[in-house]
Amino acid sequence: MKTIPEMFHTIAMRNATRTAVVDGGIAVSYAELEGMVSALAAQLYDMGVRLGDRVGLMLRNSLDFVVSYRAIAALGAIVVPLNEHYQQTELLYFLNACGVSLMMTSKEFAPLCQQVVSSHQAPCKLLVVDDHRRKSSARLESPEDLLCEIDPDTPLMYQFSSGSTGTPKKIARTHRNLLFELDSLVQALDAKNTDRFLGVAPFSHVNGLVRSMMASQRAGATLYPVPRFERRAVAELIEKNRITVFIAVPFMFSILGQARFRRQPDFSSLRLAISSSAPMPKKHNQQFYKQFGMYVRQLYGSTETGTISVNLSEDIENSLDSVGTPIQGVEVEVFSDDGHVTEVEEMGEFAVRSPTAIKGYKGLDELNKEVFRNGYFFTGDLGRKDQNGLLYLVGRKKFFINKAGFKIDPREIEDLLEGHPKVDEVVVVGVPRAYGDEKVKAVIVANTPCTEQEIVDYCRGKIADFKIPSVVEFRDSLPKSPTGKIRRGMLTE
Amino acid sequence: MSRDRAHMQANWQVEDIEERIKRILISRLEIQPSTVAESDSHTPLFGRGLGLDSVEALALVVGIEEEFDIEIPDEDLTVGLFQSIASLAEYVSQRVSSQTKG
Repeated sequence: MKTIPEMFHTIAMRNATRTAVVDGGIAVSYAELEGMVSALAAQLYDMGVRLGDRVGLMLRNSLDFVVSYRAIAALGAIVVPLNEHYQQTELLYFLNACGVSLMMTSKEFAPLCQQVVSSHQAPCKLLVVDDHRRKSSARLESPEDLLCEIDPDTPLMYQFSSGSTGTPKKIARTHRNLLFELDSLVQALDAKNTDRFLGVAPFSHVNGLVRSMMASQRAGATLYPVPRFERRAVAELIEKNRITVFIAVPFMFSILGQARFRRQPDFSSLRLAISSSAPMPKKHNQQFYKQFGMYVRQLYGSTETGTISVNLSEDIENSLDSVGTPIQGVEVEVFSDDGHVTEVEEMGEFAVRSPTAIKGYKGLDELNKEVFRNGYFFTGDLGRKDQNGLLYLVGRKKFFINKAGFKIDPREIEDLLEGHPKVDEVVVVGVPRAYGDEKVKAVIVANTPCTEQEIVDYCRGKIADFKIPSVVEFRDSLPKSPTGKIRRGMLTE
Repeated sequence: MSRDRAHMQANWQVEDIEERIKRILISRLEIQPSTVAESDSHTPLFGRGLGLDSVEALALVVGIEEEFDIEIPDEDLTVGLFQSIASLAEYVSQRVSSQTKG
């Protein structure tokens, strides 16, 4: 298996009669899923999609997402997953950065996507998949007819990294990268075709996409996509469908661990609960254990490298804060500031060597020299390794805000707010909160009286809701160092 | 007279509920006690005021369910509910009495 569509197809044929996806009341077998994928791929082909074309995908977690992603990949086109919170300006940025020629979405986002496609400089088509599905499900072709020769070292999808500095950096993840990552991941998790994966972390983000959607398909398992997190609905789904693998973001586990249920949901089918994208607070992990009788295990990854490590330690109770040991094929070393490998338990920066890592950012030579050295990618994450080789993440050098797993560049919000006529100076910081991540706070020096509502209203519709400051503070001046640099640390309280 | 007393009782209950909501904000959401102390019934929960976001709002709901032994359906989680501590307390009060009756 050299490419992702080839892998998807092979696994599907091996598991033809098994259930691939259960979306609400619809259950489809792998054979039926293949039929849906080839029908949609044929439709995309008729619309002009060819090898190497870029296709934007803005859908909530659903059967449609799985079918669309696979249909794009089957044609050797490149998937550009788009966060469903994005607004017009953000979508246009990604369309331009990737040269997207087709946007695929659902009715829910169709009006927004229509606006975006119309104002995009280059020609870009729009396909509303839930309309399409009803119209053309009759058209079936053998997937082999559409499969073209795909070079495994060409991109399967583009993702964006908030990285250490500057605007989001485009990361091309190739077929070879993803195949390797999925093999290692499925092996580490010991995922089998009898597993039932819950897909509640957004598929537009690497965590939900690779570790739930793609991993379940790699294992020939059953995927239960959930479009939005609702605690009781999710608990009921886990119990009713005997979910075995639950991969999500920390706040989902925290909320479930704290939630009150009229009748205690039975999570005994779960064999793995895995949290990624932000630190899982120990206290909440213990609450989850108390409620459901199992601990949440932490997984560590980055867009540049894919999955790095996961804590599958038998002594989980005493290593709750650890992100575990590297998955097969991945090496992690901890380096001190002066470039030496640190001693056990000594703090340093995590550097990753992995066959799935990118070699550098395109056109960013200076930055590349800094972060891609001696075959390692320097992650900017700070932490330590204990005597058992377990990795502990402690902080980061990188400059972004982590909101429930979404990485936000504060400068993007600062640039936007600087355009507000009443704003003289603005700085945006992340304020730590009880859920292990941060919330967005804007500190503003206004030139005329200004309200928080004006600031929030100004942002609304221009940036994704999760980026809109939840705290706005007005000050007479910003704290600065003697050289005029803003002291961000003084604003995070 | 008895109606007045009932009215006072209801008022007292809402104030008591507000205090208990404030305690949840401090203990569970780790909002600065000084920020909570500065707030009053009409302080907005989102944005300026207490600065909660959607995840914290959900955490607050979970805390309230436990504290008051009630169930808050997901469909009731609207922006209006979180307009202020008072609006939330009012809702909780109704919920407590309807579940007691039910």
